[in-house]
Amino acid sequence: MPAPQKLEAPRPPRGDEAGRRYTPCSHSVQKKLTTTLSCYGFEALLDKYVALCKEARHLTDVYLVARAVDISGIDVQPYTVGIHVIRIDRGRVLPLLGLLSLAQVEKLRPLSHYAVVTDKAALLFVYGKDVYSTSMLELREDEHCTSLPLIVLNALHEPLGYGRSLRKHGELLIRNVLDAGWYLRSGV
Amino acid sequence: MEDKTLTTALKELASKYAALIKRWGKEAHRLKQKYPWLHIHQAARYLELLGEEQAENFLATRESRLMRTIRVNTLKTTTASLRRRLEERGFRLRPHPYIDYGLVIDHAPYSPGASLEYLLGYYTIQGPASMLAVPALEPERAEKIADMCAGAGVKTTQLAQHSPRAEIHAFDINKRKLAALKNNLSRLGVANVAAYHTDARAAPSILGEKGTEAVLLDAPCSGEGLIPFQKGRWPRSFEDIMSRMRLQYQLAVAAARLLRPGGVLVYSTCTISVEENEYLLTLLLETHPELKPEPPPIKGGIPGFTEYLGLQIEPGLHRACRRFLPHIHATEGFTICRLRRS
Repeated sequence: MPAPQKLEAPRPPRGDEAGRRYTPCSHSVQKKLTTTLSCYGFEALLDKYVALCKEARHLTDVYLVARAVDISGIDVQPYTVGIHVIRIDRGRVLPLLGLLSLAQVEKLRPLSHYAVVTDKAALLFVYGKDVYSTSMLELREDEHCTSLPLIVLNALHEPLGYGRSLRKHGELLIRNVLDAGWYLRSGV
Repeated sequence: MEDKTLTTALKELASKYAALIKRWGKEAHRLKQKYPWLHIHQAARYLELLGEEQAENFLATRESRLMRTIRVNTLKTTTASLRRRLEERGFRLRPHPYIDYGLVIDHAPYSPGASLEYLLGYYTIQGPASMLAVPALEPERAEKIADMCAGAGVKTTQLAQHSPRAEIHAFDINKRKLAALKNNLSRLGVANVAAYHTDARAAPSILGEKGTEAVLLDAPCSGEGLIPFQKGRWPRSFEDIMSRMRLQYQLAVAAARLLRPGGVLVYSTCTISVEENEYLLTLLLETHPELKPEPPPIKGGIPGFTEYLGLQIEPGLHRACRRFLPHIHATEGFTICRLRRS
């Protein structure tokens, strides 16, 4: 019997990332980014935004930046630039809330790999709770994207965060991975 | 080394302050008895600036009398749509009197910072007068914008609302505030900002001189405009004001260096003091004759003060500055001034 999938919430990056420079993303990171965006139906973001990376040994942070912003001629590294959209930790892609926010600005709705939940479940989800099957209105998992969490949406298809589907005591459950309530809980 | 103009100006100010205490001593002591947290210097300055009746009204104004406002994030939604949603949740709202993407909260069933709409980045919480600094700059006309002293990025994200395709560079010396700025960029969906953890006085050496079309300098100040709030009630001596001016002047000089010919600088503070606003800008205009005051394209407020304490204040700042006073406008105390580099 395979070991149960270890689920862990992506730890949102904290504090100053001084010491790592913003550079164009490597080919392998760009590929991971494109795959992630494709899983959710957000590929159009790459038409308007450029990906910049901050890479360390096992950790890469990917930012999408408006094309107008040019930091190439600036000696001082920014504290932050654009929107932080994904983190790649030891090869594992962790999409962040910023990706959902940017997709909203561009009026992109997820085309696959998402779950739609009831209003009551939505409210609980943004408080860090899980979603039970009785609160799921729609579930669309893409079997090619199982390494990525699902986007959790409310009935208006507004993105609340990310979750992973699993079975607990025979019941389908969406485990909360990262929700929009993090903006309040983060302490900044 | 401190600029000669500033040194001379501070010396002049110090001598004016000495005369001020003599002139208003009795009334200032009376005010201080009524408001024990007030510094006697502060009381004398308010009496000189506003007169007895208005000084009393200003000090008596509490937070509950001020408008509570939110700024709609027009990158994600519209004012009408957000208003409808929040009203369905039990909020009572009305339009901001001076800005079409602002809403005044007359009643909130719970904290406005805890709604789903807030978490989705449909709005942010911002003071009613502070919301006018960015429109005063008209950043939609600029391709390159600097936000000095960006703090948590409330005005930075507002700049992006006006100019989603511009290049915005934000500066702040406080790393914790920059962490909040980063979160706000994410929450509100703003991708055209680069933010730097640095003293904003270094901005010209980072961005280059004379290359920025619009500069917002929301300068650190004595915060007297926040006196209606509990956190704003602390004593400010003459020296407190003068020490703020030293930093403000240096920041303003750096802002002037950033500006390209034809570029616009908006200088704003959350204080009502003339020393930190019109007088400070008079010093800047003296040493930078290429800068000219011009009226900001915003509604509301009263004109800048050009008569105070017998100081020489540039007359053009009467029209170039707009002031918001808590006891008159039901906003936080705020001053917004606009200059253009010829």
